[in-house]
Amino acid sequence: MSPRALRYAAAGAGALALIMVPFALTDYGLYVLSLWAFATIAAIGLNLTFGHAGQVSLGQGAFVGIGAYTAALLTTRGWPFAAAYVVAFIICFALGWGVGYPALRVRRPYLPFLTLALGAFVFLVFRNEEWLTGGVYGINRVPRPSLFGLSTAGPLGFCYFCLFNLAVVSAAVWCLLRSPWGRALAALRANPLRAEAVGIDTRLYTLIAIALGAGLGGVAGVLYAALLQYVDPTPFSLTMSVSLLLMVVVGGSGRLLGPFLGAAAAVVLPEGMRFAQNYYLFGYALAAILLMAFCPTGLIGLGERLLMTLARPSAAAKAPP
Amino acid sequence: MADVLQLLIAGLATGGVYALAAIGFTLLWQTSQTVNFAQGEFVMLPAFFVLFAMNVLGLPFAVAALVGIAVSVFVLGFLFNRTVVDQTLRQGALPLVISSIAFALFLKEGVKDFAGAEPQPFPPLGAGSVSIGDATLPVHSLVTIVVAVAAVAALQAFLDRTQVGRSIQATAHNPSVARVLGIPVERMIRYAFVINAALAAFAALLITPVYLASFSNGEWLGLCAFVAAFAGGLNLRGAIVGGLALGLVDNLAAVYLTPTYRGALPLAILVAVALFRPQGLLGRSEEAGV
Amino acid sequence: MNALLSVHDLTKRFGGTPAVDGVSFALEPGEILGVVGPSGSGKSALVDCVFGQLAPSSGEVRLDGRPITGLPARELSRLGLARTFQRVQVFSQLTVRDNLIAAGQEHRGSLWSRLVGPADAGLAGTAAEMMAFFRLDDLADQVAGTVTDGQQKLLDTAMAFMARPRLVLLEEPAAGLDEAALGALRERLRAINAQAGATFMIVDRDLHFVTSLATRLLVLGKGRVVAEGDVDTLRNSGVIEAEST
Repeated sequence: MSPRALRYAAAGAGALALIMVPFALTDYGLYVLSLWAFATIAAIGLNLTFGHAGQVSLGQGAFVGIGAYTAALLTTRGWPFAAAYVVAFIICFALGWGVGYPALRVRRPYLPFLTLALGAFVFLVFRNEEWLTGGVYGINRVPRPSLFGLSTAGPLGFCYFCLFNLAVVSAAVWCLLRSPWGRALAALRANPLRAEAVGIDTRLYTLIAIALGAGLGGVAGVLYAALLQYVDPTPFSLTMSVSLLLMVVVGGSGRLLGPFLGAAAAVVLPEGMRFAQNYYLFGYALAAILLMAFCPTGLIGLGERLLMTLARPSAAAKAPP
Repeated sequence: MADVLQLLIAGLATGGVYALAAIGFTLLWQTSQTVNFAQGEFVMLPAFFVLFAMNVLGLPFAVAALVGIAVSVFVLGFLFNRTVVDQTLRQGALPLVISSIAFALFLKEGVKDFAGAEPQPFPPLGAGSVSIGDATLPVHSLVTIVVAVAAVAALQAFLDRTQVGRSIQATAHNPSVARVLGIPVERMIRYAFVINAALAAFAALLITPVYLASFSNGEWLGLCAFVAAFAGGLNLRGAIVGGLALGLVDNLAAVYLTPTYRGALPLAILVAVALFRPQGLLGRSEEAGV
Repeated sequence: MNALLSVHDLTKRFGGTPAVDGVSFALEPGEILGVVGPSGSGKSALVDCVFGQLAPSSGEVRLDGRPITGLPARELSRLGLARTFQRVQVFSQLTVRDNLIAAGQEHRGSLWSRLVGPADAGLAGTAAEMMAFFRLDDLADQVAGTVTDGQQKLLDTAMAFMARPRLVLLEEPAAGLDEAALGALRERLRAINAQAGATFMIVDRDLHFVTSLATRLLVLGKGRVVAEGDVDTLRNSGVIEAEST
């Protein structure tokens, strides 16, 4: 089987597994799977910003939070769920553009610090502006939507809703990356000098990637609000931003399946390691440091290296004399 | 009048700490193009070494402080450079950026997991307060200003008057030219890491009594170090000016603004710098953006 | 006839020393201008200033009479300028075909059409033509970083033509090519010049290659124009014999 066919087959098998697995899970298992879907969406967004445009954003947690609060505020006031997606995406896209534009004007690395500052500010808004966000008490009783007349209120229904969201986002991003936009991003990452010389507006495409990544963070946040049905400031900290970035990196930055693997390592794995739960982030950070030192292409890169060393003996046998 | 004096002293004290953190960060950037995202944690961690030396090893504060500084300099200055930085740089610059971000999380979570999440008190460098007219000035703040000034003066003297110091300056000014001149750039970079760790350790002794020793100190301190460094223009003098200015502005904001708006300051400053003066206050205009 | 490109008193300083010192010249449409001179004569800096990689310290560049001095490279690309670089600059991680499409896609349609339109931006045909023209067809799906240096060089050159430019700069197009490849390249370039009426500037240290193609020469020395004129005149007056490396 050619490598490409192998990849499609694996993806297909994975998708099939995801469709069937929820029936075998407990309520808690469904919660973890839903959380994984949420994290993957946020990581897919960040993968656009970092993996494809090479920009470090430390603010994805803030965008997730903005999305979550937007959804909570709108749906508890009777607005339709679809509106929450649209509003959250627009706000986060605009905010992402708003910090990306000044950041790209400075020749030195600047976006990481700007997004760090944004995250700090946004967190304070969540925590202190009680009139808007409910402060530390948060917003309660966030409703879950109904899709095509089917309610997603129960764990199984909502889990499928999350997987559906993930499927839509993945498909959309996949189409984007295959389009000339995706090619422009790949070109500007491969050789910015030549990209400029052939007319690729590197700044514009980078800005788009940053804003889209932020927008997808907002979309993920909407899902998060409906998953927990309760929104408070605590989760949307720098720790979430860093965790999401590390998910992208550990999975394999710039790779389509990277966010899926990275989110699995960050969300699903700790559930299987209950004894080490409190120390998990500590270990995850250490794993990221080691990966960066020895295999920066992440788990996918590690997997590919493994496959290559396994395939070499047979390749040598097939090579012409 | 008393208020102004109190505010001034408080601002200079905080500013001095920010300046120390910003100077170290700038030195690393200038000599090796390394962005140390863990700079805030470099200031958070030494306090815990000192507390360990005091509470577990039973050492008196003065000795514990020296032990804490020495261990920090060794681990965060020497060890970090030799192991993580050297190995990761072989993979490129971007992996190192991620590594330092991960290292910040590693240190933060490590302290939370092994030293507890509760903020712990930390002995100040001077107890009580003095009265000058109507103003009540904490002794610790005055000591902070003195120590920060002394540290910067010592660093300046080292950089200007010693052979090694001048080589470090040359490396900071232009690493490629320094290499051509025969300066062992790699060694200068190691020294820069050691100096950074030392400055951060001093900053820890100065700020931890005020903030209490907590694993989360690094976030705000790091952000302030970055803002001070960038607003200053990513050179040493700029780091000092930026740090002091930020300390004064921050203390003013703490008095006159709500916590939310105070938290907006770093963002506002960074955006303003990017839009109106990308090279920073004391930066050269060729370093401005496109 | 209005000059296509006119450069007036262009100067570029790095610190105190001028790498380009008051250079002026003009290019007529359809010409092939060779820019020659020893190492350090300012050839690279001059073309970098004209084509947007560097901002000139002073002086003026005009395209069709309109000033384009100091415009960024992506603007110049849209105005019809294209170039190759001394060190091969391709998109190593992309396939050969994608390299070519990337080199032309920004000139097709709008930003929006590039998102919702066809994945190849309508350039599959042009890319195929280009690959055939430069004998790169069987490498279409290979990653650019894995083909030979000579093939990368040809790809680099092919990329410059994807947007049907009016003025092309070729910097050291002959470097690293063997006799056969040189001959093929020379023939390709002559064909493009004849068919599409494209104007060329060729910068190269290989005097032999340049003089076999160029109609006119610009000779640089220490950042200044030392001589200018058609190849035969310069040969007869002995100028280019003395200046060749």
